[in-house]
Amino acid sequence: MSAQLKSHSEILCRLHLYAVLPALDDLLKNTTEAKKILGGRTFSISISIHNGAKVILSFKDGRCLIDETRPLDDGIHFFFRSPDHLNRLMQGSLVLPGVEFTTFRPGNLIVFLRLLNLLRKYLRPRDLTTRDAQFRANHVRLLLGIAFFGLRQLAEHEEASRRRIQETPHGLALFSIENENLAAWASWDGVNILAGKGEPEHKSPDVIVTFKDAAIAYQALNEKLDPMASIGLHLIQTRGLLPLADGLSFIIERIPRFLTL
Amino acid sequence: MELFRRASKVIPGGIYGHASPAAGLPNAFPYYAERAKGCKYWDVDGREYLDFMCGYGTISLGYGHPAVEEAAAKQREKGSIFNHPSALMPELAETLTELIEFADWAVFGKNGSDMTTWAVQVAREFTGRKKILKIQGAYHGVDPWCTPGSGGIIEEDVAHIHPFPWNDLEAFQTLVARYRGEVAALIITPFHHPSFGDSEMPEEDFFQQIEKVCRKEEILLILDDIRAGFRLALEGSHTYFGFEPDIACYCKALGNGYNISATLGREYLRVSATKVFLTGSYWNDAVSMAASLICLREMQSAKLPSHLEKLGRKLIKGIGNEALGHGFKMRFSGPPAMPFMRFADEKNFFQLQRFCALAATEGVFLHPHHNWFLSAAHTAIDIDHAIEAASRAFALLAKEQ
Repeated sequence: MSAQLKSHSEILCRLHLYAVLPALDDLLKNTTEAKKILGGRTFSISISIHNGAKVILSFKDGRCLIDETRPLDDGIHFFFRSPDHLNRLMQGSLVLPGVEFTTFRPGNLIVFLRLLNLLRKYLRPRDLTTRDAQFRANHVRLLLGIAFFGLRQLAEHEEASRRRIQETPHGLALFSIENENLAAWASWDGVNILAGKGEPEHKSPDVIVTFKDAAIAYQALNEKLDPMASIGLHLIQTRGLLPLADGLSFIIERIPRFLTL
Repeated sequence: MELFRRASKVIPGGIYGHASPAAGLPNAFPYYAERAKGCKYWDVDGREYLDFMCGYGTISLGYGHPAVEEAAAKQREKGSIFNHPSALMPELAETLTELIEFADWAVFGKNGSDMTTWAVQVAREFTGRKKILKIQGAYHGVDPWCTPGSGGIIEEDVAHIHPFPWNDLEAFQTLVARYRGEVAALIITPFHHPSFGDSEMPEEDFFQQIEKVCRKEEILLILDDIRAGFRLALEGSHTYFGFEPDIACYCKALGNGYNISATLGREYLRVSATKVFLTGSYWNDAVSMAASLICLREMQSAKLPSHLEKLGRKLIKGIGNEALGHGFKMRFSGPPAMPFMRFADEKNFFQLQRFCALAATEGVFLHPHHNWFLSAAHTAIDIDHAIEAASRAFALLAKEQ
C-alpha cells in the first residue's frame, strides 16, 4: 500500500469517483426509474480531474460499469479544474465542467444528469421512514456499496485509515443483511484491499457480520445506533476474526467525515 | 437479556470494555454475574460455570478467599479512605520491595493503566527524552498513548510511540539507531499475549539482548507485568525469564479481586518518581492494601506459580488429548499457567468460538479470544471436570460438522 496520502478534497473526490459513481450500477439494476431513464442507450462518460484521477463510466445493456482503460467511443468527456470542482457537482451545486462530445448527442448528457439526480434521491431521502421497504432496501444497498468501495480509497489515501489497516489482520470479511439479498465483502492481504457486492465467490469469509434487517444496517452505516449494544441485543451478529471486521468498520465509519450522504 | 436491554438504554454499549458481549460470544456467554466462590461463578440466571478467566486475571487465589476476605473485612470496619494513607501503605511497599529484588521503592494505583502511564512519564522525566518503544499489538492499558481503541485519539497522542514486532531484535535495534538519544523507555510484557492470537514466548537471549541495548543506550526498561505478575514467579516475571527491568508494573493478581496496582522501581529513579504527579480519589484505599498484603502472603504459601503451571499443564494435555480423540488438533501457546488455545489449522476462530460456546453450555467458561487464567482455588478434580466437559463439547462439535 504505497499510494500517496491525499488532502481532504482529493479523498472526497476519489470517494465520488470510485465509490459513489459505481453505485449507478446498483441503481440501474434495482430500480425501474433508473432503467426507464437509461432505456436502451449505450454511451460512455469520461470524467477527468486536472492533474488527477480519471474514470470512464460505460452505460451499456442496462448497466453502468467503471472502466479506466477503455478508450472513449460514443461518449462525453467532462473536465474538472480541481477535485473541489467535481465535489461541488456531486454535492448538487450548479457547476459547469468542460465538456467534449466525441459524437454530439446531448440526450446522453441529460440521461446521465437525470441518473445522478435519481442517485442523490435514493442516497439522501427526505424521510426514509415514510418510504416503502423496496426503497429502504435500495437505499441500504447503495450505502453498502459506497461504504465498501470507499473503504479502499480511505485505506490507501487517508492517514488514520492507512495506519489502522496496517494493524488489521488479513482475511476476507462479509457484511450481509439477514433474509435479504444484500451483502458486500472486502478482503485485505496486507498489500491490497479488494471489495465487492454480494457474497464472495472465490473464498470463504474469515469474519461474518450480519445485520438483522435493512433498517439496522442503515442505522449502523450511518452511525445512528450503538453497535456494541446492538451486538449484545443480537441485532448485529458477528462471528470469526472480529479484529478484521473492527479494522474495516473503523475505516467505513470514517467515510461520513468526507462524504455527506 | 432484559437486564442488558435496560442497560443498553442507560449505558453506552450496554456493557463496555473487555466484558462487552461483543468481545466474547453474545449468543453463548452470560452477560452478568451474580456471585462467585473458589473457581466457580454463577450468572444472574443461576447458571454455574467452572471459571478459566478468573475475572480476567484479577482472581489469583480464588473468589472469596477466606484469609483475604477476613483481612479486608477487618480493615473495612476501621475504614477504607481517610484524609491520609493508612499504615498499610508503607507496609505493602516494604513487602513488595523485599519480594521483588531489583526494586527499591513502590507506589500504588488502582488499575494497570494508572501504572503503565505513570511509569512512562517517570522514564521521560528521568531521561529527558520523548520516545517510547513498545511491541506491536501489545496491550498496556486504555490511556491515549497505548489504547487499542481509536475513538478520541489524535495523531499527536502516538507521535512518539514506536512499535516493533515481538522477538524482532533487529527491528528493535533499528528503532534504537534511528532515534538514538531520543528513546526514554521500552515498555514490554514478559511474554506476548495479544487477543485473537497465539501467545509468544521470548526467544532465547531476547530479553538479555534487549537489556544490554537498553543499558548501553540509557533507555529505561519498563516491565508491564500487569497480566502475568505473580503467576509465573512470585518475585516478578523478569526472574522467570532472567533479566532485570528498571521499573515494573503490577495489578491483576495483586489484590485477589480488590482493586490495587503497583509500580516498583530502582533507587536512581526515586527523584524522578517524586516529580511525576500521582494521585487518585481512591488510591490510598486501605481495604485493598490490607487484602493485597494477605494475598501476597497466601500466594507464597500456596506456591502459586508452580500450582498454576502444574494444573495448566494438566488442562492443556487433557483438552489436547480429548480433541485428538474427536478428530481435532489443538494448538496451545504461552506459559501453561496462562494458556491460549486455538484449533491448530484455523485462523479465523469460527470453530473455536463454537467450541467455547458448547463448553459454556457444559458449564465451563473458556474464552476463545483471550489467554486463560487459573487460580490457587482450582484443583486437579476441577481440571478433570473441565476436560470431561471439553470432551463433550468436542463430541457435539464433531457431530455438527
